[in-house]
Amino acid sequence: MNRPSLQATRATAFSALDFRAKLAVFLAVTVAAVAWNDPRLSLGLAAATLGACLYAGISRGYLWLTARLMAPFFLLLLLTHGFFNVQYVLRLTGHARLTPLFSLPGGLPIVGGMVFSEEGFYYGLNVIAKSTTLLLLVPLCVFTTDPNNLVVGLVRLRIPYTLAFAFTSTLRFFPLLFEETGFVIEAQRLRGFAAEDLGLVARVRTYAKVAVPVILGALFKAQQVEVVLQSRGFSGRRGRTYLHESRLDGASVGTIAACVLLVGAVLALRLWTSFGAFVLPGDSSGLAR
Amino acid sequence: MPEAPAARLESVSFSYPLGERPALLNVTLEIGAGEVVGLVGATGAGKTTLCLAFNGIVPQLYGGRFFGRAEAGGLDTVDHPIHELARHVGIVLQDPESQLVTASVENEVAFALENLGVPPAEIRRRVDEALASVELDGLARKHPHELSGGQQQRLALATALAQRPRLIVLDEPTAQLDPRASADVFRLVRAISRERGTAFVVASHAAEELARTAGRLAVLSRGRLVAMGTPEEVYRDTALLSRERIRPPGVTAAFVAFRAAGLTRLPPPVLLEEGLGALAGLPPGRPYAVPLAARGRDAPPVLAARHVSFTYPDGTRALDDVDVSIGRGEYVALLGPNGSGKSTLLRLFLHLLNPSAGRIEVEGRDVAARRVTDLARTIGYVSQNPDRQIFNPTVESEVAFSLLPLRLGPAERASRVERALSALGLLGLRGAHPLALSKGDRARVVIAAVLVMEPAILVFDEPTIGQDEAGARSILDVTRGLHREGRTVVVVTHHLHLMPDYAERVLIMGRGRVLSDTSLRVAYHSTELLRANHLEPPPAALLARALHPENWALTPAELVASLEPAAPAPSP
Amino acid sequence: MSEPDPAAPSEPLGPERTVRLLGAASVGGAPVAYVVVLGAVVAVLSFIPFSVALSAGGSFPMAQGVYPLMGWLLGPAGGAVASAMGSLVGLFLAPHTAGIPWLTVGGAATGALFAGCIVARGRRALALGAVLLVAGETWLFSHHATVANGVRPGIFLLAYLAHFAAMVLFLLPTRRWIGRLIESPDLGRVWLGLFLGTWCATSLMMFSESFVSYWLLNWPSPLFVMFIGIIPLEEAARSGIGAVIGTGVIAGLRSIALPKPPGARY
Repeated sequence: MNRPSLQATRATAFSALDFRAKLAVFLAVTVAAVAWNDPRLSLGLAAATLGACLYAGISRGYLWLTARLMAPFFLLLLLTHGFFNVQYVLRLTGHARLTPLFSLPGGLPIVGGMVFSEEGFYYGLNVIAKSTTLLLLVPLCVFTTDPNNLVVGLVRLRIPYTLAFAFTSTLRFFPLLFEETGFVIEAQRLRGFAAEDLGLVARVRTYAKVAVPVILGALFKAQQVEVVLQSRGFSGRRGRTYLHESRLDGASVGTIAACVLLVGAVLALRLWTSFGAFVLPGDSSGLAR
Repeated sequence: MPEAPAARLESVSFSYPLGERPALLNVTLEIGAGEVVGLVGATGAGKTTLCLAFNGIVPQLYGGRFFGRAEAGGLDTVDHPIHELARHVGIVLQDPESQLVTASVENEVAFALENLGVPPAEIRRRVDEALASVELDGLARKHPHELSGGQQQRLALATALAQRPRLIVLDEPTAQLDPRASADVFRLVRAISRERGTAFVVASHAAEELARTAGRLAVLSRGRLVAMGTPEEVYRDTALLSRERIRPPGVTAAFVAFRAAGLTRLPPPVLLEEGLGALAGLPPGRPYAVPLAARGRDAPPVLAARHVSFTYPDGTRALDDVDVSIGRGEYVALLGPNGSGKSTLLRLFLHLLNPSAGRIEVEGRDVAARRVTDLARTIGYVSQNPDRQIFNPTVESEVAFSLLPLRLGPAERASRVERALSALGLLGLRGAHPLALSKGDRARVVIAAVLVMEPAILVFDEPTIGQDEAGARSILDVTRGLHREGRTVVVVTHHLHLMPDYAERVLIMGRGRVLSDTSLRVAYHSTELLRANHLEPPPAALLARALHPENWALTPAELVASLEPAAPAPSP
Repeated sequence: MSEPDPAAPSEPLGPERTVRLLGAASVGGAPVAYVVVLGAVVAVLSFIPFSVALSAGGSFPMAQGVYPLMGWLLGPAGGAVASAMGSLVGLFLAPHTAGIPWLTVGGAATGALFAGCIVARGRRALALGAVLLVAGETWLFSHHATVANGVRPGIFLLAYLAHFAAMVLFLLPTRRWIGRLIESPDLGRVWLGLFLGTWCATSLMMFSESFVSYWLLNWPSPLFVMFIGIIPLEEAARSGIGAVIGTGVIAGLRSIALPKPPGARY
């Protein structure tokens, strides 16, 4: 199985930020993405997040892989909203009727005559943009952080060290178990199991049987790992020191402050005005929030 | 005033919660400041349990019943938390990968120090110092997964060193390493012990290295400490070694045979250089040849690589114009250091990879047109970790699992399963869960599961790794039985000393090429070639060559036969 | 040296000591190492798509079938952390299965938590919390869909029938019965218990995730009609995965002497 590389290797102003500042960016942009339904704002936010990923050095291969894998889902979303989202978008836009963009030929079975609406199209775009933003935020904030600094950053956020360690250690063990799973799948093939030749139920059983030796082998390893952790004084108690420090420099503090303001502004505008509400481009009569 | 011991055990006994017998029984042992003590004994003797008793893992982590007193750094290991004991005892385990828990080399070394509350500046100093001690400086930012097995073990040693304990315990630290990496680990142990005065306890089957490194050896048997002495005292006690199934250094075994034959009265040496020096006291050497068995060159090839090259996607050229064939019914050992291309060649034969150039043939047909799953009926593959190949809850169902894709009738299926279980001596274990069995028995289960498909060719990938002498020979005896049935057997191994009784032909690989394709005897006497490829020639071969350039002896018995009948040996 | 001592005592000579584990780190009682390594397993299984049926996001990862198993192996807290950590790492590598990332991670944790309630005894408070949570979600979700967005109540009920049936199993004493099945020495009963238990836990998990994502994405009413056919198929696949994998794992664990986490129920 091919595993894409996780870590962004380029040193940028964003990657140099303290992890807490990146987390603030994550939260602020998430709030904005959730709050905004205006497709222009949603698309703009998604584009900005993508731009930030490219600037921060997230692997283009990873981004392209994500785009390829998400494309069918996004197409489905667009078609679903375009054809079927009626009542909700009518309520949001305050229109009496939907504006058709095109309709399917009447002679088609089942779907013949179905109308694809402009309102549904834009709402679909809004949903796609939202999903894209939420998806890209994770690699933006985590891949640009050195795992060494991730733990300390989490601890400075008052997350118990045990949990912070569990996360980074899971990252550490993932390649090992990924490789192990590959060996197990290979071992099945070398015992003559071709999944493509099996019926559905047999395939379920065969696939699931890969997980059994992986999990049991993992638990054997876990016992060893527990011995190692204990032998290295890991007890979860206070007084632990850190080789790497996590300091909030000016840029990080400024970023956090900007994020706080952004969240405040987004929520205030959303609550007290129609800024961010769903509206068609060129249509100023959006009603519902 | 003499320095306090690094650790002390007084009448320590321990039983695991579900254990049928005590894992340790009345063990009394003191580890002096700065000394290196080796722990030897057959698999199941209690070595690992004893290692873990020094830092309180046994009994605190496992529960069970504990008797007596164990102290490390003056602290009772039952009454003090393990994290306090970690200041006094460091530990290195067998599996390199499982003991690295962070995402970078320097963080790995720093981890224990952070847990112990060492100030950051001091952590930095100790990290740099520890990495330099194990020759890993320059790799501080690397992910542990990117290191080789030998580097990972050195990193584990560095993490223990950085704790600055008085005692470091190593439990089979080289069991999964190739000879070169193994030698590096022991070399570092000697250097650190000498330079820092750190005490070591090393549990290992690597007799040659222990003889060179340990000041004392403790022999364990079924949880008891049955003998204690210098390497010379222990390895010369043939009755003890035989009873406890412990392999002595090859040079010791040779000189024990010389003494038994009346060729010398010298006490058997434990170091190779001592043995080479002692040859002068033996009768003069002479040419010694053993008739070479026919290599079956005329037998039709069942596996062939025709000018095969292979390059991985990252640009690593793993194989370079390899042209080799293996005939029906041959037994071939495939030797070479890590990175030599052995595994790549195997994977090409199994069609898990496609060659970048050339052709791979199985039974005369290009594998390119055959699916991996179909080839599996011709080539049975047993990996070095049998646990990866266990999918079912009973031995019998595991063996029968292989037959599912073959769509046989119930009678044929049952018959094949019975034959496979019987061939591997597993009939009495058919209802047992494979994971409840010993490692050797688990390997047998996997072999049976492969055998039930009745492949004509069997490939064993490092089948002896992690096994003691008896366990390793037991697995190799199975391969010999299969070979005698007419199957073609290929074994990949680092354990050269085991293969003379089994393989007829040896392929030595290095840097992606086949460097040598000869009989086992000729290969084992190609000492320069072996050393150049980080393989250690068997001591018997080195002694034979030192006796006479045309002496092709490979075992102690052959060495004895190669020497002229001796006049009575001079008094020492 | 070489002769064995026939007079060597066969009983311990030293005084017996009281053994306690002093000062170890754990997550809800589960050793940290177990949580870490099983989290890595979840991450790996997140990478294996299981294309039995398309959900609104495409194929779902095999890991969804083992979140509840983590709850039974490690206890609810340890299982929740392992599932969450694993799905977090997994979603980086298998974004096509993520949907909304933090929802996926939160969902993974709840899968293990819900499973942690499906035990033969104890954990009443946790179960009560789960019941209240699900009751609140059901009311809000159904209201939002039927009243605000005009989805027909009958369609809503049919779409999530598999989930509602699981809720009934969870509320009734069947929850304890399923827990007893999982702890049974008979592997056939264990299989049944794991099938039903996984169905319950993943149904509650997926229902909770659907509630949040519907609030965010407001998919149109015809999609609910599609769910009528898709959701039972998906739940059957997840339950099958959980049962097959879980039975194999539990059978293995019972045969080998690995220290069992305090919160484990198998």
